[in-house]
Amino acid sequence: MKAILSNIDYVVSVILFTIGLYGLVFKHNVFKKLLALNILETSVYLFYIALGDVRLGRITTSWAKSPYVKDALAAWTGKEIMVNPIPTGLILTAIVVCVCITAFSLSLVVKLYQYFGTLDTRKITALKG
Amino acid sequence: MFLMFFVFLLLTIIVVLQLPPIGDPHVPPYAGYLSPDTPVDEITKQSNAVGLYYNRGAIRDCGSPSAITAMILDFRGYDTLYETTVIFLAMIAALSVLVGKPRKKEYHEPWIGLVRYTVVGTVIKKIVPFMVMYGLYVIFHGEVSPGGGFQGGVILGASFVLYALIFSYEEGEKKMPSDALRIVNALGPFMYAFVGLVGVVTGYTFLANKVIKGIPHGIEGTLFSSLPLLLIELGIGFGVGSIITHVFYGYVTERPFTLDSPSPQSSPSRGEGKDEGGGPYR
Repeated sequence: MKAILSNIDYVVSVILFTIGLYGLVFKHNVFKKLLALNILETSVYLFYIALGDVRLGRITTSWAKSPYVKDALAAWTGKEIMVNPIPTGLILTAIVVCVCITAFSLSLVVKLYQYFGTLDTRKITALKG
Repeated sequence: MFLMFFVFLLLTIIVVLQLPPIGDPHVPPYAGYLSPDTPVDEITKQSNAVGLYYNRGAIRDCGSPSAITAMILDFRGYDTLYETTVIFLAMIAALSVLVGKPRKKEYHEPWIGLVRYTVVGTVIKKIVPFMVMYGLYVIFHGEVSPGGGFQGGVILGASFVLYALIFSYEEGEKKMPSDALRIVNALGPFMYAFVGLVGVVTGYTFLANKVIKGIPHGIEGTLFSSLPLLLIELGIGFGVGSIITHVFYGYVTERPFTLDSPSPQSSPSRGEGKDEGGGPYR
């Protein structure tokens, strides 16, 4: 129980991943598949950002030099905290790529509905033979 | 089938519980985080200390107090350069898929929008200027606090999308015409390459932002922290906002795709369909 509580972000991320994978495999609607893909990607974001958390980390010298940031942080949290910037930066890239994929796939979904009149993958049977 | 996913879930939870607790500073990559006064040049000699180097070298190498902005715009500048290119290309791909042949006249219906509800129209009319202001705030504060071009650009785009969604598309087109959007669309990669080429012209390398002497850099720690990063943030912000709005306009003004030589499969089913006679998404 203690292990679950200390790793609760990872566990939630894994549950979200499974939900997304389930929807991606077993839903027949193309639009629902797309939503499931978004849920799956969100689980990956959560996992990475939880990885980048560093508790008990001290404020860095580059931050402490800036009175603007130091005052804002001190007023906000009351203590010195920091995170590892690499996972956050990587996830920013991943979010942008996810938005690109979603925009392009939604345009394909619109065209698919106009072409076949349905979004059910069992009824979309253009492929012969 | 359900059983398979339960087994998968169970296995992954078991694996995840083997990881060290969240935020544990004693794992090897974070070994240097506990002593705050290690000089920056010492950090690079350790392995696994890239994040620590980004944190502590942000002001010295980029002039930006926010380590994440300094990292994605300067240390990993090529990554973000091609990221802006990717979102620009995605917009081009989505728009080129969405636009088919010109729509016949009888299919054209003006979009009334949700403005027939008085409360919605009034509230949105009051909210949209504040959304634009907040988007600009997030863009300009990207160097000193959480925020930046992508986030602020999405807020800007969301405000225009909201306006065009509640009032009609024609009203949104009057406020933010798509001809203007077409000019601003490529501003992200363009501004990035422009700022990078300043380094080449003045005799340094591509994207040598802080290293260049002789151009103003701003005062570290204030709002005007670093001129190259501010230019890049502005370019990315306006570019992403216009791309979001333009993709939305593309969905609204989408035209049906018809082949030149119709086969039985290719005749679109709009005649038989349920979607005949309703909604703007035709």
